[in-house]
Amino acid sequence: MKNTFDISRFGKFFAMEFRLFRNIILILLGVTFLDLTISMATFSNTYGMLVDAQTTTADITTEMEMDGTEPITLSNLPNLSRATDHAFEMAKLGVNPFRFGGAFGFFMLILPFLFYNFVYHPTKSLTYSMLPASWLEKFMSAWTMCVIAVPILLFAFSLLVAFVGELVGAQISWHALNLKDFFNGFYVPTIGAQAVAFWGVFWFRNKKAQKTILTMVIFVIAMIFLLSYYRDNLYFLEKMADISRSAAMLFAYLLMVVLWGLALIKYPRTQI
Amino acid sequence: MIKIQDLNFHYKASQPIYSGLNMELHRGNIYGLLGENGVGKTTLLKLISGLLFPTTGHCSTFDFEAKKRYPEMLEKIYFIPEVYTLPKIKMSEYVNLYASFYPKFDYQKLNEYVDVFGLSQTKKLSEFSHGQQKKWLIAFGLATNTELLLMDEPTNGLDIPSKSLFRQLLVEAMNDQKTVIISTHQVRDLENLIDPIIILEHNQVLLNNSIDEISQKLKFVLNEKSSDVTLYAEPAVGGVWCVEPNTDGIESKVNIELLFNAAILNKELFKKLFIQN
Repeated sequence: MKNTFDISRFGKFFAMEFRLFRNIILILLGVTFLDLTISMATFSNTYGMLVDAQTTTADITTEMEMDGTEPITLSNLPNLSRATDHAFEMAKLGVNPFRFGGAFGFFMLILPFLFYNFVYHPTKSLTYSMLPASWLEKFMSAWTMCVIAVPILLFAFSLLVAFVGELVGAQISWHALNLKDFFNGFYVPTIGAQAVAFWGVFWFRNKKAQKTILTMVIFVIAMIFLLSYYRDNLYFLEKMADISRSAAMLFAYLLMVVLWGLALIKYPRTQI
Repeated sequence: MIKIQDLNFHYKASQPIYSGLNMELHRGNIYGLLGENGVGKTTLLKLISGLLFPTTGHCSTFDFEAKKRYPEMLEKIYFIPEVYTLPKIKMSEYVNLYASFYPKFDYQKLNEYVDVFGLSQTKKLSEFSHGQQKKWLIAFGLATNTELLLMDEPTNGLDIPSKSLFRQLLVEAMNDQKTVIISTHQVRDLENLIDPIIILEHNQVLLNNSIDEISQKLKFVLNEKSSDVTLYAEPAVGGVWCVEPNTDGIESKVNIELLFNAAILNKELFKKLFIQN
């Protein structure tokens, strides 16, 4: 067993990799910081403008009433008014500290390519492959890095930035820190999508990104064809409507585990 | 220490690199691995280190199945490749990252090697010239104190003084427990250093013998002209260098370049002389 997995050796290898990738991790933290800072600045600005707009509308309405003019009501400007109210309500909530969109989300998805694109490369992977750690320790280090360590680091950093942001006057929506929503709404879908990249990195020897994208395109087209084949089958659709949500979740979980499993199977069997 | 049994290997099924290769390598030697381009020298180093897997047959290193790449095996091996990519970090950082994986790593020796090779500690490794990068890998490899050091064309890219330093450092670092396998075309750089010599030919081994064994069976003499028994002849100042069967027990210095050329020209004879006997 010591030859297969030794926790102290795994820890040493993981620590080594973390130091090796620290520049990429710093870039990710920088992007997170920018993303949140811009969001906080934009939201605060929007909030201020909306407060001004509501105050002005109220003043004009009062003046119009005093002049005997028909005031602006929901009936004559319904869409604008509703949209403004909605925006105002949203803005009042403030910035969600886990604003995982845009560049940040993209980085999360391609994390395996950023870190492990060199795996199986005849020259770039030689030191890595020859380092005294088992294939399982190396694989688990990569998995921990992409699925647990870097995401947790980024989440913690996001919280810190939001906390500091609030101290300097930004509107932060702390109630968004709902662990269940966060886990199901962001973490699982992101890591699930990332599992595709993780699989591609360990499955293909070269041109990993291109081959992964091509495989996914073929997979999606196959799924579309498969679903359209059953389109006219009402019974199937009724069943799908009942189970679609849980089935989709189950499929996502299953696919994620299968992709990790395939990568795990392939890694020790690939020559360099 | 390294045992290769009935090993077959190919990249393409139609072009086998090794067919039924058998070989044993022992501790305390600096093996010279010679062969023409594409004959499989680097492949053999990669099979020994577990980076490539035999198609059939076995390759065991330190009694471990090499392809399993067990940590206990890997901590006894350091591989200096011919082509490499070093990270954009300084050497101190490189040492911090990787040295602790090698239980017998000698930090003091590393500093000595770095000084001897005249490497700058302030520059990033990626900013070094090709020769400097190779010097760094040699210095680090020697400092790991591993029992098996695999070197693929170690003198390529080294300047003349560095080649001499390399030889000195390697001899100093050797002991009975260590084995070095050097794959090279630059036999003159390593003359007086490598012993035994392995000559590879497509699919097979032509020779895997010590210098003593070679000189007992072959003689390297400067004659006026070649004769019927000459296996290989090369014109030289004052005559012709000849490689001939040593039927009269003459002691002569083995010239590796002549030996290699003679082996390539007389494959069957060499196999009969060195492998089958």
